[in-house]
Amino acid sequence: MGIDRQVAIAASLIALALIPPVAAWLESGLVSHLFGQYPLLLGGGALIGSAAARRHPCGWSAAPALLAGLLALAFWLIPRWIDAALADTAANTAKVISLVLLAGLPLGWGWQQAGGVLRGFVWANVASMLAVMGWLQLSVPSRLCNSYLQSEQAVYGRLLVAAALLMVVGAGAMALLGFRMGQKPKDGQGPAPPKHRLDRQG
Amino acid sequence: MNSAITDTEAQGQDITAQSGRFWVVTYLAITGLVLLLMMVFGLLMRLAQAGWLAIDPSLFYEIMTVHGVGMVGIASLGGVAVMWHFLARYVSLRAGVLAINLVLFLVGVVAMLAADFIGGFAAAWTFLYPLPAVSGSVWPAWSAELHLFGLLLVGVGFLLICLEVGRALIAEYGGLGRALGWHKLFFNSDDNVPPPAAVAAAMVVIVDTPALIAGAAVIVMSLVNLFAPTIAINPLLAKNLIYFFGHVIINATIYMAVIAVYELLPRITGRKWKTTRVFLAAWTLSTTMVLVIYPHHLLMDFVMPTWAMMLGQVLSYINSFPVLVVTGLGALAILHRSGIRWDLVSTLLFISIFGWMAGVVPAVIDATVVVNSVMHNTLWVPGHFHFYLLLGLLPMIFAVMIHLARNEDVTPRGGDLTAILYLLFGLIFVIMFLAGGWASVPRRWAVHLEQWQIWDKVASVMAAGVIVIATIFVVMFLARIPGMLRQK
Repeated sequence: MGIDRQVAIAASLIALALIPPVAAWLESGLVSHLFGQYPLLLGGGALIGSAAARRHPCGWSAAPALLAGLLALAFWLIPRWIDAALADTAANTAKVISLVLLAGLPLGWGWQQAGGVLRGFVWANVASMLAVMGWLQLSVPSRLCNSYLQSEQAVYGRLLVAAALLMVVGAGAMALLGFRMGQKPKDGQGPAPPKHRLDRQG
Repeated sequence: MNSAITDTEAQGQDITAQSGRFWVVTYLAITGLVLLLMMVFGLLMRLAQAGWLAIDPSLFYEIMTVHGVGMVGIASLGGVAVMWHFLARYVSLRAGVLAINLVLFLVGVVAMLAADFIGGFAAAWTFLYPLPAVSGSVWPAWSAELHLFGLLLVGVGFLLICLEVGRALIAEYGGLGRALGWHKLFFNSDDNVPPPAAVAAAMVVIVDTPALIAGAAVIVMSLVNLFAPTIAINPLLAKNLIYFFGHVIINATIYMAVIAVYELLPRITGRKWKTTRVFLAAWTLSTTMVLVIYPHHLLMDFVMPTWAMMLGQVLSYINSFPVLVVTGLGALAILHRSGIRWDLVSTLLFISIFGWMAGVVPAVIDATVVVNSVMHNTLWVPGHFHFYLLLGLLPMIFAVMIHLARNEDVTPRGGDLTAILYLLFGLIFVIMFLAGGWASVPRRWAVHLEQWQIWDKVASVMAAGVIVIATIFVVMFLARIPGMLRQK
């Protein structure tokens, strides 16, 4: 995909998440808010970050960028701040900017440049923590978000657990079938192949 | 399986994997030292049960916790060293991951030792909910938190190892399915057929990665419960996650270490261990089943779904046999009329196959519901896992240590009597566990009745013998470390 096209799609995703009627509808439910608006904003930021990384690669920054992006995302998953974003326009603006620029963009930037091990590590950690978050939503005996019903919280919790399972099964299937999690080492980069392999090829 | 090795292949096998040699040697040195320490802890417990040593029960359970989690951890570390050493001949591995894993492992171990011996945490390696948080004031919450945090760090390290091995296998073979040889198994393609070492490594990656993810999840859930006790965990969910994690991890240690058998026996006998379709089918079957049979650890949990129990029992009968049969028969085929002159390494490898195969028998017996309901909380259970770890896994690791200490020269040099003594001491030691279980002696009891102590006393003497022989193996390895590191 061309970089310009990637940026255009990113802008479309962000715009879709922010169109007033759509935004209001997405924010009206916990599930649509966190499984609808959040991914649109994150995806938009990530596409921009990925495009930037393709234009200005900087390998060492992958891990810090991924960590920063995940921390920013984690902040906006705290029920206290989900409520704040719904109750206060300034907080909602901060949420949108953070999810696009502080979470999505560094996640896209870091993911684009991360090798297979780092990608797998992030994937595995996100999967296990999604499962824990899902369990928390289901186990806490009271509402976590004042703005949403407890019944929605239960649905959200189940969806988080399902997402975690899907991540594990999906990554497992891709690894079995040979989908590369990381970039192929360029010529002259990466460890040298074992000698016996050269013998065999010769 | 008996065809002679070609010159190119022999040349390939003779190449010493330089990358990671320092870390492999370091891993094995740490493995040896920690193994001896954990063995001494085990001896202390048997002496206490025999009535020959007075140990405060609280300290007994702390030692039991350290011994359990320590042995699982060090078996994994030793298994990784064996796998890495041989796998590096076939795929490109980056040794930096070994360094990161070791740092995480050591920090985690220090945290757990402090939590257990200073904080008094003694909930066994299983840390079953709600025990860590409900200790009856035996240990403070911080010790449980520190122990679980340490365990989490160790798990993160092993996850990195799995990811690196998986990455290397995918890069070389085009996918973990192809690394398991599925293209040969299902389509009879001879294109880049993986050697047994790669097949075993692929299996380890496939089963260990989800197990570590499940382990991380349940550890974090337990930590949340410790920090916020009002947030409860479904005990059955916690137990399922813990045993899925623990069952797979300890099984995978043998699947890593058995690579030593696949690599060393061919070198010793001059015969190749071929990757046949039967061999690949066996590994694929075991890969699948090891992921789903863990409910055999929960046969006493009557609230478990019946289908899960049935799965646990029936598949336990089948799970071990495919790989065991291809490994056992493969070894016999390679050895038969090979003119082998037995020495320490080859004898240890042969013992390891026996220990693994024979150790599975009491495990399968215990996986039967009607037996399990009587035997599960007896010494039968430690009997079965000591059998295949002490006589299956450890001889594989010791064989690699001795092999490296001999500069990877397979010329027979004697020493097989030492291995036979190890077998003798080890066998009687584990039989004492099984006999105690047969007599309904409960497991995890710090104090034993006098009429139970005959098995404890014999076991203590045999454990001392095992430790002496194991010390000889470890010292042989440690003494040769400078030479190993200088070797080109």
